[in-house]
Amino acid sequence: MTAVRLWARLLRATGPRATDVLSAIAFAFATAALLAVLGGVNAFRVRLETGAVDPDTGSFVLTLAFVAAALLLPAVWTLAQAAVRLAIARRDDRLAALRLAGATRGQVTAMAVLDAVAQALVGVVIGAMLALAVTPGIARIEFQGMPFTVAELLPPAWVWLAAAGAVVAIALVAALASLQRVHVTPLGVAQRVTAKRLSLWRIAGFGLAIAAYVVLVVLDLVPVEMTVSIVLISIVVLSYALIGPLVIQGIAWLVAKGARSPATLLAARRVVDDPRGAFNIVGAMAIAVMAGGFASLAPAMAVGDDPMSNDMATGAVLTIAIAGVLGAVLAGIAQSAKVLDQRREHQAMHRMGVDLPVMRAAIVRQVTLPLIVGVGGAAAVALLLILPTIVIWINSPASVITWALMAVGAVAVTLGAAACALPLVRRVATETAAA
Amino acid sequence: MQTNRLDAHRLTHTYGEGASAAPALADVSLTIGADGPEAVAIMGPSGSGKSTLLHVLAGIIAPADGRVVWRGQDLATMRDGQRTRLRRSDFGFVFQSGQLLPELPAIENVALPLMLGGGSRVGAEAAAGALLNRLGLGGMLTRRPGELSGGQAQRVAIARALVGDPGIVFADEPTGALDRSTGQAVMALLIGATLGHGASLVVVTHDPEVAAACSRVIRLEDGRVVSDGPTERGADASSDAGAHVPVASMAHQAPPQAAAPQTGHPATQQWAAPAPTAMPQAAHPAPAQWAAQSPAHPAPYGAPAEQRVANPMAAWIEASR
Repeated sequence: MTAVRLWARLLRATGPRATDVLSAIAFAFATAALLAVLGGVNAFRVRLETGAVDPDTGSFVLTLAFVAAALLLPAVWTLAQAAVRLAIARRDDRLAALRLAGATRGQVTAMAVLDAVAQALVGVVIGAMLALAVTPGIARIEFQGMPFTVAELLPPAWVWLAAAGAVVAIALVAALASLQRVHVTPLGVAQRVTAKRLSLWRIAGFGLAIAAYVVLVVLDLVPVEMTVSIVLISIVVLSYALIGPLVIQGIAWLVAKGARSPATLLAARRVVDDPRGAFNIVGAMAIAVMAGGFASLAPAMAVGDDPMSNDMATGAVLTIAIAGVLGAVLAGIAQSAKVLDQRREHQAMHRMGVDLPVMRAAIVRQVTLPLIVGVGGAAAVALLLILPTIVIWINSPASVITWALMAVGAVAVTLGAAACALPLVRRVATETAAA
Repeated sequence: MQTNRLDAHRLTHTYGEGASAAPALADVSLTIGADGPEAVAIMGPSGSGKSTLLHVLAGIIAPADGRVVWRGQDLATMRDGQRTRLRRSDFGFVFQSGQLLPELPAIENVALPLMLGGGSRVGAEAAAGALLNRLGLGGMLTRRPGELSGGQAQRVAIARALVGDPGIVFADEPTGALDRSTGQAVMALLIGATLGHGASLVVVTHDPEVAAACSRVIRLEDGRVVSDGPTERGADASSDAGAHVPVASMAHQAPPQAAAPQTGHPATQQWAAPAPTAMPQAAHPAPAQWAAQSPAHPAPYGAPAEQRVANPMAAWIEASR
């Protein structure tokens, strides 16, 4: 109870900060994306249950909708995590001061969690309104030969409540996990000593998924149903999250070894230091791009004007678009949080004479490197896996071009969003001037 | 050759505005390095303006009034970017903690200023490696700051401050986060290595022992200079050498063991231990001679051993390896 009172007292004293607003925006986008995806799933369910569509194709499309939702959920989770990190970033000093003043670890944890949950609740409300606002726009998209209706896209109230509860729960869990990592002591935030090591089991996990895909889908050694193939493709796509950080870390290490400019060296070392964090920013987009690569096969393989293949292509474009928006918001939020997290480093660099453009370039390259490696790698894996059908694929240039353009667009939007963190660099680096 | 002279004229600085304005500096004038490199301690109670003075002298913050002139150039007339480059090229910095970039190994932390100045990665790392070797950190080149002890991290910071061959090194409570013996070792190394490079040292400290290791102490109270004069050691060295400022007299006063606490020989001797050899030309430690050994000029590292040993500072650093 003391923690709640203390939290309320400090909230009144300091008022909302820019980081609180950014954090709430991140939660809002996460909620809106989740509700939009659930709305889509609901629409396909309603159509199937009301007999508006053929039961066979209807259930297949519903499976695909679940797959798309599954592909996007990690992005929602990562975005919520980044929002929490941002919420806590500027609290480190205050939390340490409270510990010094005698607050227990439990009280400090409770206050940080209250901060995160309060921002999540604000974000959930804004996100729900955002989801309602975009629903008429989504309703204009045609699936299964007809546009959605707004009613189809609005899931039952319990789904909305569950989605809101899930976002708040993510905030709660992520806040607790973040606090465990930063380990606030009375003397401040503990420094991480060594780079995060990644287990080589990741390679085995990814290899296993690829092997299963090749045996069951490419070589067709064991006959399986289409639904099983789809699920298998989803597993391959999601397992990219296992190998992605490892690949990014390896390439960043090579880049650091050969870096000639200080900005590249700094960026590469930071990526080597936190490959999972780097992958998280680009992971959703990489996974969407890979899924889009598979989905772009559908129109090419279709005989004549097959509505199902068109639906798959549209679904792929939608998935990449949503992942792109989430990825862009994530990049902006995560980079802002990183700049704030690294404020002491930026201040030290400013004092020792590091130019602001060098610091900004390092921030941009910190995103560009994993973006190119992550998304490029995802596209390469997709190309490799659809190699047996590459001729058909090339004969359908429209879907290929759409896929490529969506991927390039998503990358550009992400870089643009990451650039939003750049003005913070000057503010943070020159902050000591007043100290 | 430009003189590494820093002049402060009537510096005034205030934090806040109106009724909440808090004066940090009031009419502070001083000169550093007028007669050659010197080690200057800035002391005073908390809130007396020590760190503000250091930041103003280093061009990190602009004073509300007054001028800081470095090598004849008024910092106020320079643009922010020029001051940033000046800090990189002419100044070195050692702070209490948190100054090293945690993601970079020691050698890259030290090489960074040279790379920022346009130096090649290979050349910068060669110079950084040589300097770290001299400071007894040859086996820790690839360790990250989090893997170093406090004293080792401070020695890396000293190497980084000196690698660009600065004219002056600013240190803000450099031993504040260290235990006493490690702090003494680091301070001895900081003074010795800085003066050995022909640079002056300005160190903000609360610690009388740190101040006593310097040649001159400036005391501040309420933002004003209340005293400015040689320390006992500075006065001794000054009378010994017959010079006004006891430059470089500290360069050889640290016991060799003190520089290498990791060897299991913590420095317990007082910094006031007598110098093992008389410092030739104490008032003017021949900057060119020292510059020839600075990491910015790696070639002279290969100079004949006798040439380096002839220099007591070099001998001391050599012994500390």
